[in-house]
Amino acid sequence: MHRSTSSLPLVLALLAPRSASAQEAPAIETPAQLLERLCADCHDGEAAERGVDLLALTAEGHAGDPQASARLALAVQRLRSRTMPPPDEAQPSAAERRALIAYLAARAPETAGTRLATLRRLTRVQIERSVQDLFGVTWSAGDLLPDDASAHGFTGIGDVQNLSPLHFEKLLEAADSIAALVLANAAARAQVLEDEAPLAARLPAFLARAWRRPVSSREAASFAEIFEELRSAGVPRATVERGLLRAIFASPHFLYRVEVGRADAPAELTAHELASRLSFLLRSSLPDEPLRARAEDGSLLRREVLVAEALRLVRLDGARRFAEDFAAEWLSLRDVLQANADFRRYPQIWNGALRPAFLEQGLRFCSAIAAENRSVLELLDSDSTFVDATLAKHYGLPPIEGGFQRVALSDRRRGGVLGMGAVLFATSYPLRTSPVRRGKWILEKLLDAPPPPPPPNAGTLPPDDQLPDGLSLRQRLERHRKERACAGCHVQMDALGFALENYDVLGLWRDQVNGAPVDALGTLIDGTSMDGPLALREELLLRADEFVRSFAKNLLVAGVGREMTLRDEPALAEIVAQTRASGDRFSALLEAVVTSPLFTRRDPGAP
Amino acid sequence: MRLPILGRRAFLRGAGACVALPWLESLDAALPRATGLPPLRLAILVTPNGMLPSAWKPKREESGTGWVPSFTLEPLTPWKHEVSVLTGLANRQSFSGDGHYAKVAPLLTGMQIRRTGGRDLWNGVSMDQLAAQTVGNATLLPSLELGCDPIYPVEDMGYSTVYGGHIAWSAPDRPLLKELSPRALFERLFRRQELAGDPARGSVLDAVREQSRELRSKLPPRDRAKLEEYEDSLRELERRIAHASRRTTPTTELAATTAPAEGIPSDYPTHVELMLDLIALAFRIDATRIATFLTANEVSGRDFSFVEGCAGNFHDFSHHEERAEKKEPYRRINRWHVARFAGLVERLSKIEEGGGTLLDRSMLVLAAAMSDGNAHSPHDLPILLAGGRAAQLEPGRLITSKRDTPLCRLWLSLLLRMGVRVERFGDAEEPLV
Repeated sequence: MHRSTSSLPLVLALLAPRSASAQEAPAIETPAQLLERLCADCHDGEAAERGVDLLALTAEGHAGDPQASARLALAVQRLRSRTMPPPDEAQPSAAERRALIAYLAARAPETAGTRLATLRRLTRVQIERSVQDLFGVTWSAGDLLPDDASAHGFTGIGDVQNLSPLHFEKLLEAADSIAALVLANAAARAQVLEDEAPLAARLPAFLARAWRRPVSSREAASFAEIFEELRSAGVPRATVERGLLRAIFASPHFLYRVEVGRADAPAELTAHELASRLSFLLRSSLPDEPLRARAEDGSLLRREVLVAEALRLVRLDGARRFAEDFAAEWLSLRDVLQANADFRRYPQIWNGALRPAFLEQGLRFCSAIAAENRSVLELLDSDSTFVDATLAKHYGLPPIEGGFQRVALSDRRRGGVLGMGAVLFATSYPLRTSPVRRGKWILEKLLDAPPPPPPPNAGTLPPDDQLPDGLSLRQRLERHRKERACAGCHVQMDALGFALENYDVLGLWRDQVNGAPVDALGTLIDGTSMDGPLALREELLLRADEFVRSFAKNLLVAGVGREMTLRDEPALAEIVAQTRASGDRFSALLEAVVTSPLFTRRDPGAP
Repeated sequence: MRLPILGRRAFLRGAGACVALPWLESLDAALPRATGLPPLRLAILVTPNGMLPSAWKPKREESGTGWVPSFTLEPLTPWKHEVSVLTGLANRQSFSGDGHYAKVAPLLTGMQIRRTGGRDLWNGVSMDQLAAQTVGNATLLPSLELGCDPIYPVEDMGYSTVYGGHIAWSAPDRPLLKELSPRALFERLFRRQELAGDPARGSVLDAVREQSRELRSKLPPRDRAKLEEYEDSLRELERRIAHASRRTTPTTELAATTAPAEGIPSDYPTHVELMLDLIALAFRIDATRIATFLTANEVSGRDFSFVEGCAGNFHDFSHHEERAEKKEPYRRINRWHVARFAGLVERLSKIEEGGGTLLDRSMLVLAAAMSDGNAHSPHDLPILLAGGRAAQLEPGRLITSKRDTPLCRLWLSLLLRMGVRVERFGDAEEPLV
C-alpha cells in the first residue's frame, strides 16, 4: 500500500516529545521540499548517483520498480548514519533528517510475506534453559551441539538456521543426553512418567509444556503407542522410556518454534504463540505455568495481561537471563572475553579476573535497568555503576570489599556502557585504542545507524600508536578522511570514537598518551564539536530518540526473528514516542514493544 | 594406545613436511584390506586469507614438465612428483562483492553468492556435493565436511558469516555444518554397531518423521523448506543405519581402544593434524570418498605463534601493505599450510591399496579463495592438485593456463573422474586436465 499524505510522517516526527527537535527551529519545508533541496542535485533522473533516483522513488506509482524497497532502504540507511548528504554538501538538521527518513520509509512498497519471520529452531541456550525450566535440572549442550549462526546481531534467526544430516544427528544425540539426565533423576522423571502406569499417563500435560501448545490426550496416546509397541515386543521399560524422551526432544514440535497463526486469522498469533514469543525473548525458554495458563484461557491477548506477564517474566530472575541472552548479544558484551592487549604495555591483563569482571559489570548494569525499572537512557549516562573489588581497583574508584555491588559515581566518566571496560577494551587493538571501531560500535549498537561497508582496499591503520613515521593516529585518520570516498563514513565514526580517547585500551582514564595530552576532540558532520567522553554523552542524550529506537528495534529483531524493514518504521516511531512520553522507563519501552503489532501479529504486513 | 599421542609429533615438527603418524600406521595395519578395484576419492583443503604470490610461484623445471619449489612450496619437495601446481585459474563469479566472503563461499560452486545478512542466502551446489550425490550412496557417509572454527557470530560487509564459514553447499540455500570434533568424527566412522543396535531408535525416528510431515503441511513455503531439511536429514540417517547393518564391523573393538580424546583440541596444529588423520582413515576404510576441510573460517585472525616469527594476527599479516615485516610471517603461515597438505599426501602414499597406494586413487586439492590477501585478488588462485595417478591425473606438472581461465574447468575434470555425468559446471564448458 502506498500513501500520498506527505505531511503525516513529518507531523509524527514533530510530535515526538522531549526530542532534540524541541531545541531547534521547527522545519518549515515539507519533506518533499527538503528532498528537492538536499538530495535532488545528485539523486534525480536517469543519471542519478548509484541509480538512486529519489524523486522518482517518492513519486506516485514507483511500486513497479522491483528495486524500490532496496533503494529506499539504502537511502534511509545513509541518512540515518549521516553519511548522506556528503560532508561537503549542505546538511539537514536532526529534525529534518528524521522527517526525511519517515517520508522515505512511508513510501516503501509492502511486498507480501517480507514481514513474515522464517521458522526458528531453538538455539543451544534455549534448549538448555528449556530443560532447566521443565525439570529443574541443569543440562549443558557442551560439545554436543554446534554454535549457532547469527543474523542481524542475534542467534536464533530462522533465515540462517540450516539443518544438515550431521547437525540432525547432533540434535538426536543431544536429545538422548537430555533423556538420560531426566531418567537418572527421580523428580525429573516424575514430570513425564509414572511407575506402573501407561506411558501416556502424564504425557498430555507434559507435552503441552515441552511443545508449547495444547496437546490432546488422543495425540499424546498415539505418540505413546509407538513406544508401547516396543514394550510388547519385549524391549525393557528403561530403554523404551529413554526412546520416548528422546523422541520428545528430537521432535520438530520441541525443536522448532512454530507460528501458524489463528485458524480464522492467520496473520494473528495464537495466544500460545504469543506466549512463546514473550517467554523466549525475555527468558530464552518455554512459557512457565502462569504464562501458559493465561495463554490457555486466552487472557494473554488482552493488553493489560500481556504487559503484566512481560514485566513478571523479565523480573523472575532479576532480569539475569534477559541480560545474558538479549543485552549481551545486542551490545556484543561477550566480545571482551576474546579481546587482547599487549602484556608489556598493559601488564594488568595478566589478571585473569579482568575480562570476566568486565562482562559481569555489563550484565549487572543491563539487568538492573530492567529489574529496577530504570530509565533506559542510563545505558548512555548514569551516576552509578556496578563493580567488584577487582574493577574498583582497576578503574581507580574507592576500594570496596567483596563481590559486585552498585556504587555511586562522583563524576560521570564511568557512567553508562561507554565507561565500561567491556565496550572500551573489546573495541581496542592490543597496542592501541581504535577510534574507528569505537565510533562504529556506537553507531551500530546505540544508534542503529551502521556505516556502510568500506570500499575494497580501503587500507588499514598501523597496529601501534607509537608510530615510527611520527604521524599520530589522528593525523593518519585525517589524511584518510581527505579522500572523498572515505570521508562520508569516517567523519561520523572518527568523531564519536575520538571523544573516547581519554580511555585507554583497558578502559583506564588517561590525560596523556605517548607523552602528549590526550586530544579527545571530535567534530561531527554538522560542525558540532565534542571534547571528551562527557561531551559525547551529552551528544548521545540529544539523540535519545535514535537510541530508544535502536533498543526497541533490537528487541523486535530478537523477539520476532527477522530484520525490521522500512514498513516497520511507523510502528517503531510509535514505540519511541510512547517510551519517551513515559520518562524512558524500561517498563514503558517493554510495554510499547510487546503490545506493538510488530510483536503481537504474525504478519504485520497482512491486512 | 590412546589418542593424545596422535598429532603431538606433527606439532613438534613445526613447519617442515610431516611423516605419517604411528597411530594411523597401526590402524592401517590392523584394518582388513578391501578386495576388488578400490574406488576413487576426492579431498579438498581450503585455507583462508590467500597466499603471498611472490613466495608461492614456482619456476618451471628447465627440462620437462615439472616445477621447482618456491619458498611456500618447499615442504612439498619430497612429493613434487606427486603434486601439480596450477596457475592462471579464477572463479569469475567472485570478482565482485567483498574481499573474503564473496570469494570463499562460491569457491567450489562457481556461482555468485547473494549479498544478504540472513534472508535468502543463495549460493550454488558445491562440486563436492555434486560428487556426493552421485557416489555417496555407496559409503557409510556420502561426504565429510570438516573444520576447526565454529561459526563467527558477526555479520560483515553486508554478508552473513554463514558464507565465510562454509564451502560445502548441498543446495543453493543449504550450507553444510562442519564437524569440528575429531572424536565425534571418529565415533561416526567407527561406532556402526551401536548405530544399528539401538532397539528404540527406529521408533524415535518413526515418531518424529510422522510429526514433521504433519506439521509441514500446515506451514507456509519458506517454513516448509526448513522441515524438508529436517526430513532429508532423517532420511540420510536411516540410509546410514541401513548401510551400517549390512556390513560387518570388525573395527569396533579396535576403535574402542584408540579413539581420539573428547572435545575439540585447544592446540591448533594438533587439531589440523587429527582432521587430516581422520580423512586418511575414512578413505582407508571407504567410509566416505569425498571430504572437504576448511582449515579456518575466512578472515581468520588466528595467532600462528607456534610458527617461528609469526606471532600476531593472520588476517592482519595478509594485508601486508608490501612491508617486509608483514610479508615474512604471511608467507611462513602460507608455507605452514602447504606443509600440512604435504602431510596428507604422505599419509596416503604410505597406505597400500590394490597394488598401488591410496594416494594413487585419491585426488587431493589445496586451494585458497584469493591469491594476494593484501589486494583480495581473485586472480591466479593458488591451487595444488596431488595424487590421482590411477585416474590419469599425471601429477608432478606445472599446469599453466591463461589469466582467468575458469577454475570450474578443474572442478569439471575432477567431477568427470568421480563418475559424475555432467557436461558443464559453473562457467566451465570443458575439463582442464
